[in-house]
Amino acid sequence: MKRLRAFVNGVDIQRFRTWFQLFAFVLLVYSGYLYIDLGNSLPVFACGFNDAGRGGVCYLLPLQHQTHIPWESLFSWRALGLVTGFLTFFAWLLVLNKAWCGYVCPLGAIQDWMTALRRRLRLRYSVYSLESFTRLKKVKYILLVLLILIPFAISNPVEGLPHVPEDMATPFCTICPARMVIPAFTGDFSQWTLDFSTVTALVMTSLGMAILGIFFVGALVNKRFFCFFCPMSALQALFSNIALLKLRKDGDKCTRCGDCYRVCDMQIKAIADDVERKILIEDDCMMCLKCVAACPEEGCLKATFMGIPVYEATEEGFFRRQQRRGGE
Amino acid sequence: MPEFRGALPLAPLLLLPALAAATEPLWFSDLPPTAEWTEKTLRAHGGLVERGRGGVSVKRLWLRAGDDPAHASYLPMPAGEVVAEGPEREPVAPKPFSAEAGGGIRFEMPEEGFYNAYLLSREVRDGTLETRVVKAEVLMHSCANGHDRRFTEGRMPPRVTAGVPFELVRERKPDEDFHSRAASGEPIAFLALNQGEPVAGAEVRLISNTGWGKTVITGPDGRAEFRMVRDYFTDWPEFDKRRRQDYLVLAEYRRPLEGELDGRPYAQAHYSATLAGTYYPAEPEYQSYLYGLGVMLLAATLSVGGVYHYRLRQRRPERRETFDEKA
Ligand code: SF4
Ligand code: SF4
Ligand code: SF4
Repeated sequence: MKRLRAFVNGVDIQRFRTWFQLFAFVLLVYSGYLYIDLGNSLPVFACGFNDAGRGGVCYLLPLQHQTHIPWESLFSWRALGLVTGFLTFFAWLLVLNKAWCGYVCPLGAIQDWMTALRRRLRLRYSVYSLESFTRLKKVKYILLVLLILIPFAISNPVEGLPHVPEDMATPFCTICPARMVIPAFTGDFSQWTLDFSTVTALVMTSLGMAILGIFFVGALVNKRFFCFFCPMSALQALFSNIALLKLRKDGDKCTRCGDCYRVCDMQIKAIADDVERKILIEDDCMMCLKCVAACPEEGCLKATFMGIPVYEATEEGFFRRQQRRGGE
Repeated sequence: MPEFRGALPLAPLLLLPALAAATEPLWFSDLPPTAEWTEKTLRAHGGLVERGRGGVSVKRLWLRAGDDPAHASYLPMPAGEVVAEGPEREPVAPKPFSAEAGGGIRFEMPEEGFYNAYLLSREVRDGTLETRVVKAEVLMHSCANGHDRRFTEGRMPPRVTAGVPFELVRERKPDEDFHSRAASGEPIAFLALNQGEPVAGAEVRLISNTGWGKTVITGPDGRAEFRMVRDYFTDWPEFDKRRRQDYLVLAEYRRPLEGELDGRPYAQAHYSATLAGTYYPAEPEYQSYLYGLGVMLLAATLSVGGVYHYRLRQRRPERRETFDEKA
C-alpha cells in the first residue's frame, strides 16, 4: 500500500492529465458514433451542437431550455425536467468536482493544446494583472445569471416592458465558442455562420463569431483564456465545497515558496498565499493538481476523495519529477 | 365546402361511401381554423400540439378539403373508419371531434416517435371501387425526453399500417432526426405503397403553400422525388425563418380488379391517398458563412493587434504581484 502511495504521489501529473484529457475528448466528442451517451447534464462543454459525435451534452444547453418556462409551470410537472436535470448535473459534479475542467472538458483540452502550440511556436504568454483578474473573474457569474434569466424572461413577459426576442432563447450557446469549435472536430462547420433573419439573431451570431476570433487569439497567448469567463465554472463553483474530491492545504507546512502559484494556469494566488483555509478550491481552480505536483513540502498540498488522500505533495515525488524533467 | 355526391348532408350514417365520392381531395392538417383554437396549441417539434391530462401531448388533426394548402376549407368530420398507430405499432384510438369551425380527430401521443392516423373509405361507383385514404404522419418529440441516438434512429424509419390499402410515405433523409424539417429548395421524396408494396405508375402530385404544383409518375420503386419550391419572398424586416408553410401530396392510381362490395360489382379499382406536411425557409436563405468568417477574422486580427500593442507598451510583462510576506 505504502509503495503504491509512493508511486502515485511520484507520477508526472501533467503527462497523466494530457492522456486523460485526450481520452475524455474522444469520449465526449466522438463516442456518439458508437451510440455512447452520458446524458445531457454533464458539467463540461461537451457541446450539444455536435450532433453526430457527442457522447454526452453540456448541462448549460438543457438548463437554458428548462428555464424557458412560464412562472406557473415552475410548480407543475414541467419543472420536473429542471429538477432532474439539476440533480444529475449535481451528481456528476459531486464526484469529480472542478477536476471536470482540468481533466475532462473538451474545450479546456483544446485550450491546453493551444498553449502547447504556443510553446512550440516560442511565443510569449500573457497574464492578467491582479486588478484585471479580480474584475474579469466576475464576468462568468454575470453570464450565468443572464443565461438563466433571459430564457425565463422570454417565457414570462412583463406588461409594459419590451418582450425579449425568441432568438435569445439559448443566449449563452449563441455566443459560446464551443458551439463552433467542438462540432468542427467532426467536420461540421454549420455553426460558423451569421444569421440574418432578425436583428437579434444577427447581433447574437456576430457576437458569437467575434468571440470565436478572440478565443483563438486569447487561448494562444493566455493559458485557459476562456475558462476565466466560463459560466459552467461559475455554476460548478457554487457547489464545489460540498463535492467529494477536494484540494486541501496544510498551512503549517507551507513555506510560501510560491512554486504552486507559478505553475498554476489559472493564476490562483491564494494557493500560495492562504495558509489559513484547509480546503482551497477557488472558483477558477480546475483541479489540475499541478500545484500539488510542484509543492516540495511533505503533505502540504493534497487532493482527497471523501477525506482519503489520492494525490499528495511529497519530497520524494517532487524530486522524482524534478529528475525526470532534468533528464528530458 | 367540397361537393359530396350522395346524401352527405342529410344522412350522416351514409357518410362513409360519400367520403369516397368527394371530388375534392381531403387531408388532415394540425393548423387550427381560428385564432381561438390556435391559442390552445403549443409549438413542438413535429408541429402544433395541445397539452392533455398529466402533461401528455395531444394531437388535433382537422379535416380539410381542396388542393390549395393555404386556403383549403375545414370540414365537419364525417363518419368513417379511423385507424391510428403509435411509434411501436401500438394501436391508438383517435376520438373524432366536431366544432363549429370544423372537425377531425384527436389522440394522445405519450411516446416519442411517429404516429400514423388514417381516415379510410370505400365505395363502388360506376363499376369502379373507389378507395380513399387520408393519412397524417405526426411526430411527437420533446427535448425533455432526451436525444438518445440509438433510440431516435430506431424510430425514424417510416412505417405502413397493416390493412391500409394505399398510402403515401415520406422518405427519410440519411441524417434525419427528430429535429429535422423539410426546407424550401431541398429534395423531398415519397413512396406510393399498396400494403407495403411499391406501386409503379402512380400519379403523385405535390402542391406548395402558394399553389405551386408538380406531378411525378412513380417508377417500379414507387418513388416520387420533388425539389421543394422556394416560394416565400418578403421584405427583409418581415422575414421569418420560423415561418411554417404547408404542402400537400396527392397520389392516385387505377388497376383492374374484379369483385363486389355490398352487392355492387366492380371491374377496376381506383385508389387515392393524401398526406400533408410542413416546410420552412432553408438555412442558406438567411445564414452566411462568408460574413461569419469575416467577423471572426476581423475579431482575431483586432485581438492580435491589441496584444501586440499591449506588449509593445509593457516591456516587462512578467507578473508583478508579490506575496504578502508579513501575513
Ligand atoms: S454552445 Fe456552449 S453552452 Fe451551449 S451546449 Fe455547446 S458547449 Fe454548452
Ligand atoms: S471552465 Fe473551461 S474547462 Fe471548465 S467547463 Fe468551462 S471551458 Fe470547460
Ligand atoms: S490551484 Fe492548483 S489545482 Fe487549481 S488550477 Fe491552480 S494549479 Fe490547478
